[in-house]
Amino acid sequence: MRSLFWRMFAAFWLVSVALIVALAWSTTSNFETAKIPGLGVTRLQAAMDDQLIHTAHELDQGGSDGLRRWLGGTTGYGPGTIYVLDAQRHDLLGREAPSPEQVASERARTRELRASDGARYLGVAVFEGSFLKRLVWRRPSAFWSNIVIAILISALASALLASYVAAPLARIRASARRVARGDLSARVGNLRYGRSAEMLALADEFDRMAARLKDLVEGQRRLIRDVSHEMRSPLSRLRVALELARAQSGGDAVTQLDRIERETLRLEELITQAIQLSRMETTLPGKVENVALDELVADITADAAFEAQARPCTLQITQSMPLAVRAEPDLLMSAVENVVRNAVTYTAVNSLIDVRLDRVDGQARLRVRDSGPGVPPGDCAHIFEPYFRTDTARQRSSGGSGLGLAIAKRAVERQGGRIHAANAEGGGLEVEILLPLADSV
Amino acid sequence: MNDAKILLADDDEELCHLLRDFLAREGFAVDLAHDGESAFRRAMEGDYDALILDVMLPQRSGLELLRELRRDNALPVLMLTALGEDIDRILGLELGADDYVPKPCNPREIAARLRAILRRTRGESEARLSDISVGPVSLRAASRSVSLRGEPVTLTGTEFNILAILLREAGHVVSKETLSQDVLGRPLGPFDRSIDVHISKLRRKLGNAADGKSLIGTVHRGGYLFRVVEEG
Repeated sequence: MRSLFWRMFAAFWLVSVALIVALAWSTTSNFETAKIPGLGVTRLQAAMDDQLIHTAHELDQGGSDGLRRWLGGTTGYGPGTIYVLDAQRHDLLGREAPSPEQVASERARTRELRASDGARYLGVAVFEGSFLKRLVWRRPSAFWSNIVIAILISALASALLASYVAAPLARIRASARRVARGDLSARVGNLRYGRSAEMLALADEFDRMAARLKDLVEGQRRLIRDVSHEMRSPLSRLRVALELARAQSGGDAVTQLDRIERETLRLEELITQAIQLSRMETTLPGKVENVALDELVADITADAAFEAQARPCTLQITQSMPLAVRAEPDLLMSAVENVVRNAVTYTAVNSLIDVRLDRVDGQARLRVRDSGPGVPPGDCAHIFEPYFRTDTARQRSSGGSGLGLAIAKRAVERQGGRIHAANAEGGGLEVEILLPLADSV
Repeated sequence: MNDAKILLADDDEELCHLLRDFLAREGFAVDLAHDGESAFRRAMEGDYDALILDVMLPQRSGLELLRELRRDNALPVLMLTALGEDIDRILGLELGADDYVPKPCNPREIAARLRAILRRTRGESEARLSDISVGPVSLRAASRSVSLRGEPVTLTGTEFNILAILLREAGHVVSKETLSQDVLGRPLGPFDRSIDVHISKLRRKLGNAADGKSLIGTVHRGGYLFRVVEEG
């Protein structure tokens, strides 16, 4: 945001300084080369002629001594110089006389001067040829302070102009960034500075877009939540009816009833996870506590060992240390649990799942590595999307709700942490969770 | 134990009928109430052994009903909480429910929890109980009553059982696992706050010891203990 301001400020300022220089150049060039209509001389030449007339007048009034004094007073300022040469082409003040070529050029004018004592002189007015030299050479001190003032004023104007454009843009951009991060309530609101019609329209359009986006997303989430909630009642009835059927069938249909129960439980799991996910997306963070991550990981690993036996595979914590993190305990637990369960689901039969906990860059780092097929490299970020499955996972119909890693991601991000997955060297997928440590550690 | 009279308060009538059929097979006599108002009336009037209470009830929510009921009634209450609504669970226990079952639930689990609650409150483990007095607290096994410096204190069945264990082991730490297993009849789950909630209610009801600290102390990652402090 600041950089936008400074970039615009620099651009405006450069343009205005360039403009000042260009204007100066074009006026002087006009002064030097454009002929005054009807006279056939340039303004520069006319001005030099006037100077020479004045020189003649000084000579007439004060003689050669008076002229010398007057000349001495005029020398040293500005790009124009007046020489008064005697018959030997020596300057009256002893300066080096201009060369004949210089005298003959467009930038010099001459005039015969005759003193009252009859002495004849040649008055020569010469104008410095180089633009740059004229610009900096022999300026009165007021010139430089004028330049400084002009540059300061142009800087001020540039800053105002830059903030007029950059301030509303920065606000709109900040709002856009918040929306992109998932804060759909972000609005530009009233612009305080830079209330140009275009900016106001842009801000207004942005706010309308964000509001619409919020409506859509919330509508969708509400739908998912409501559908999930509504499904719980029939599920409750289904489970009781199932138990009644079990009791009444007298063991005739055990296989089928078991199957029905399994599928019911699976449905329940799907709904529970959908509710959990939508809750995390729609509610504000709850109570945050200091959670001993190492103990939590140990508990979950112990719990998951049961599922691991069924696969079968081995869960192993190969590295751990006491670490406390600030988090909502149940969400953190479901994050870790989902990652571990995902590993159990996809690891190869009779393989090892490696769980490591350590501390890196002031954060707690939990790594869970399975010995499964990994995922195609392009899918590493997508596996955290709801119901995303890699092609291999689809073929295997591995069970699971398809929401586990999505829940893990939301839960970790709610705690201010990050989660990502990568294929480990030597095969298998490694999911890494980074969490901010509790202050007390 | 058989033919315990149960009041089932849930607004899902079909579910109620199914559950009644199921619980009848398990040896419970079940009456139904479908809204908070009638559930409250019948719970206060009727001679029930336990109440199965859904959190979401029309007219008067389950939690509100529980708060009203607990003013002067120790009827054992099993809460049905919607799955994933953890806050209801905590609130329910806070307001004096004896245990909870998340919904949708396995009806066998309802039956099992119900039996556990009834066993506790009917005092089937009375044999292990005897009158104990520690510091300002006296527990009478026969009447299942507790008094604090001579004044009677109203406790729910679950609170009574927790206190009984703590008093028996007064001065020694009792782990949360033990309390959960002995009192609630189930292992302690990770982040299971049930025991903590019951303990905090007990602390409030019992007040502080003579030294100004709570009678029940917490041992970090260990559990709880009843502190033996001489009354000054």
